[in-house]
Amino acid sequence: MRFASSIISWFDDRMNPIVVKELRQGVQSRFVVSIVNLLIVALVVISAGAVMTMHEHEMDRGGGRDIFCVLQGALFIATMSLLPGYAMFRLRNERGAINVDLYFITTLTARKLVRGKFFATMSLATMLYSVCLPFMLFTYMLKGYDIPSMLTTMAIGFIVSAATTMIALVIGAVTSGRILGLIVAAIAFLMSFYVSIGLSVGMAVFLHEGVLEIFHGTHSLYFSGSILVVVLLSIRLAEAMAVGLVSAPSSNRTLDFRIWSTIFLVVTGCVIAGIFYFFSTFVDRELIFLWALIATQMVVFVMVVGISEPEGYSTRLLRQRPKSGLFRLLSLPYMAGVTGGIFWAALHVVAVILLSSLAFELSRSHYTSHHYYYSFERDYNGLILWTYYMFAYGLTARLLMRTVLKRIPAKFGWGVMLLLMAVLILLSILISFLVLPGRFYDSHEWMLFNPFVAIDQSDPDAYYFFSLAWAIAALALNMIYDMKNFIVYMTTEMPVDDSAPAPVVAPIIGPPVVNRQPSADEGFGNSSPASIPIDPGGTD
Amino acid sequence: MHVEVRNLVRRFGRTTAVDCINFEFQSGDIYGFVGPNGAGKTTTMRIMATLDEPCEGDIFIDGVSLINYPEKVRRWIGFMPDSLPAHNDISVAEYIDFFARAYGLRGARRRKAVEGVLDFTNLQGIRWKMLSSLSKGMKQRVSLARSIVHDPSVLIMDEPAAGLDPRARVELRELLKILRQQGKAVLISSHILTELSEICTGAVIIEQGKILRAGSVTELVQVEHHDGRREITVVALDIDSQSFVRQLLEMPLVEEAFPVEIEDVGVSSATGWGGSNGNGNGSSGQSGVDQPPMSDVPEGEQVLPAKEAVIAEVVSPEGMTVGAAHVRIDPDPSVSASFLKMLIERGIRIVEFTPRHVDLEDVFMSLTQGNVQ
Repeated sequence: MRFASSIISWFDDRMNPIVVKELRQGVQSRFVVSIVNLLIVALVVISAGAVMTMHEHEMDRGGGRDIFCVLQGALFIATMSLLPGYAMFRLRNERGAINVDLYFITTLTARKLVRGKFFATMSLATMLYSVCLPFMLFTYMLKGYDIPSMLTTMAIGFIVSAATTMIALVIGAVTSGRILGLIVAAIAFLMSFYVSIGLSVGMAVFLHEGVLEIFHGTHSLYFSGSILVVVLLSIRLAEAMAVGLVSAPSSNRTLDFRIWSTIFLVVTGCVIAGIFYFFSTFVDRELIFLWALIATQMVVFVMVVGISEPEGYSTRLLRQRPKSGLFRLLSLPYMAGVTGGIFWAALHVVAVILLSSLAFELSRSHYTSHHYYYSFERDYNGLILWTYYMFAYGLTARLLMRTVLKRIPAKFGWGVMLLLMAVLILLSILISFLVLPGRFYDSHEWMLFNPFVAIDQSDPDAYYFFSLAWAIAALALNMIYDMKNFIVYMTTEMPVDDSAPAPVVAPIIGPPVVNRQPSADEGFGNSSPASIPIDPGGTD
Repeated sequence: MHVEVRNLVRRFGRTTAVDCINFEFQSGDIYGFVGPNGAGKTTTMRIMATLDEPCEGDIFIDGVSLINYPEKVRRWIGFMPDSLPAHNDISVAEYIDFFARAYGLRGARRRKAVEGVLDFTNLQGIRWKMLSSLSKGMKQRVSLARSIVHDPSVLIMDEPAAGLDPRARVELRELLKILRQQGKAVLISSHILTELSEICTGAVIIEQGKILRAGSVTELVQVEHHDGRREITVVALDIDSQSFVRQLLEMPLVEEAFPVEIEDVGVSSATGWGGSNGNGNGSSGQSGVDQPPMSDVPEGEQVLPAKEAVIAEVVSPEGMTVGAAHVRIDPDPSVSASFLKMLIERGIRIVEFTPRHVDLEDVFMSLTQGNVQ
C-alpha cells in the first residue's frame, strides 16, 4: 500500500501543473459534467431505445451497425467539437492581462502551458471515450461491426480530436480583440462541428467498405502510415505555433515553429518521394501538387509572420546564439526577428519551388491523359505565381515599414501587407477601367499587381517575370537593413558581467548608491552571472 | 537580497511610461512605491516581476540581470497584482497548490508550503471555497498567499490594500510586518499613504515616469524637514502671534519662526506649515492665505518668508489672547528641551508644544503635482 502511494505521489509530483489544475477544474466544471451526463443519457437512450424498438429483421440486417454509427457521431461531436471548444475558451479566457502573466512569473514555460492544456483536454476526451466504449462495443452483440474495425475507427477519431484540440489551442492563443476572437472562435467551432460530422460519415463508409480490407497490403499501410505521420507532425507544428503565440516577445519565440516547419516540409517531401520511388504506379500528380500547395503556403505564412517581427535582437536572444561562427550563421534563419524570418522564407521558397518543379518534370512520363496533365500544370503555375506575389507584397510591406512607415509597430507587418495588396489591386482595376472602359480585364499591363488575375492567365509569362523581379527587388532592398541585423547577430558580443555599474541618471538620495563595484564574492551563489547556464530553449 | 533598478525606460508608442528610473532596496526593507495614477508604478512593477520588458535599462537582483535571466530570478520574486484573476471551478487550496507546483515544489515540501501560507494568511477556514465566490478582501488574501507560497526573497505588491475594509488593511499591515521580519525585500505600491508611512522603511516617489525622490523614510522626511531642522508648533496664552514671533526670534536657539493662523488651539498643528517643495517655500499650506507682497511689509518689521505670514490672533472664549508660531530649531532633542525650558523661564504661558511630524503623505504631496501622462 505504501509502495502504491509512493508511486502515485511520484507521478503526482512530476505531472505538469497545468494538467493537474485543468483536470481539477474540468471535473468541477458544469460544462464538462454536463457533456458527460448528456453523453451518458444519449448513449443509454439510443442503445436502449434501439434494442427495444428494432424488429428482428432489422437487427438481422445489422442494426447494431447503425447504432454504432450514431453513438460514434455523438462521441465525435463531443471530443472534436465541444471539448476543443472548451479548451479554446479556457485558454482565451486565461490569455487576459493577468492570468497568463501569473503563469509566467512562475517557472512554468509556455510549452508546459500549451502542452498541459492539450493533455488535460485529451484526458477528458479519454474519459469520454471510456464512457462510450462499453456502449459502442455492445453493438457487436446486435450484429454490429467486428471489434477490431470499431476500435480502429475510434482510434482514428481520437487522433483527429487531438488535432482539432491543438488547432483550437492555437486559435485560443491568438491575442486579438474580444469581438474578433469571438468571430474566429465561432468559425472554428462550426468547422470542428463539420469535421466531426464529416468524419462520422466517412468512418461509416469506411466501416461499410471494411476497415481491415482497406488496411490490407503494403501500399495501404505505407499510405495510412504516411497520413498518420503527417497528422502527428501537424499537431506538433500547431503546438509550436501556440507556444510561440503565448511566449514573451523578447524570447526566441519562432525558433521552435521554424524548426518544425522545416521538419514538416522535409518529412512530407520524403513521404511523397517515398511514394514516388517505391510505388510509382500508385503515384498521382495530385500528391506532388498537394505537397507544393501546402509547402508554398506554409512558407508564405512563415514569411508573413517574419515581416511582422521586431527589427532588432533582444539581449536575451543574442545570449542564446550559438558560440561558433558557423553554427551562428546556420541558426540565423531560425532565430526570432524579421531578418531570420525573411532568410528562412527565402531559403525555403527556393528549395520548395525547385524540388516541386523537379518532381513535376520527373512525373511527366507517368501521365498519359493529356487533359489531366495540362490541368495540373496550370494549377501548379498559378500556385507558384501566387507565391511570388505574396513574397513581393510581403517584402514590399516590410520595406515600407523600414523606410516611410517607421511609426507603425512591427507586429502589424501582416496588416500593412494586406493593405498594400488591397490598394494596389484596387488601383490596378481602376486604371484598367479608365484605360479600357468595359473591357478592363483585357488590360493586362495594368493588372500586373493583381495576383488573382495573374493566377488565372493561360499565358502568364509576363506575370511570372514581373512578380519574380518585384519579389527579388524587394528582397534586395530589404537586404540593406537585414545586413545590418546580420552583422549585429554575427558579431555583437555580450558583456561578461551583467552587474557592471552604469551611470546614475535620476537623483537618488541617501545611502543607496548605484555606482558601486560588486565585490568578488557578491552575487548569485558566489558566481558571476555570466557563468549561469542559459536556457537554450527560451520558451517562456 | 539586493534589488537594484537601473536606468529603466519603458515606452508605449510615444508615451514614456517609465523614464530612466533608478532606485534600490534590500532584504528587511519595505519600500513604498508611490505616485499619482498613471505615474508608471504598475509598469515598473510588471517589469520587476518579469511580466514586461524595458526598452532600456535593467533590474538586478543580487547582481543577476532580470532581463537576461528571467527564469533564474523568478524563483526569488513574488508578485501580487492589484486584483486576483478570475479562475473558475477551482478552490482556494487547489489554486495555491497549483502555484506551488508551478514553482517546482514537490511532495511534502509542497504540501507544507501550501499549509503554511494558508495558515499565515488565515485562509484555512475557506480552503475548499471556490475562488470565484470569494469577496475582494479574501481574494487579496489568496493573492498574497499565492505570491509567497514559494518563499520568495523579494515581494512586489501592486495596490494590495485596494478595496480592503479597515480590518483587512490592519491585518495586511501586520502580515507585511512579519514578512519584513522574515527578511524579505518588499516593494509595495499604494494610494493609502498613511498606511505606507506606518509600515515602510523607505519610499520611491514617482510621477510622469520619473523618480522625484527615493530613499529611506528618515531620509525623505529629513529633506522635507528643511535640511533636517526640527519644526515645532508653539501656542501660548496672553500674547499675540506677532509679538510671540518677535520674542521667539530673539532666542538664540531659534533659527526661524513664523506666525501661524489658527482657528483654535486644539487644531493648531493641523493648520501648520503645509508642505514644502524643498525650496523653503510652502506649496501646499492649508492656511489658504496668500503671502503679502514684500512692498506691503512695514519698514522695520520682520520679513516673513512663508505665506503663513499672516498674524493670527484668536480670542478664546475666556477672553484670553492666543498666539501661535512655528519654530525651526536644531534637531538635537537636547535643543528642544532647552528651548522649552527657555520659554518657561521667560514666563510665556505655553499651552501647546508640538514637534511637527512629517509623514510620507506630506512628502508626497509636496513633491507631486498630480500630473498624468
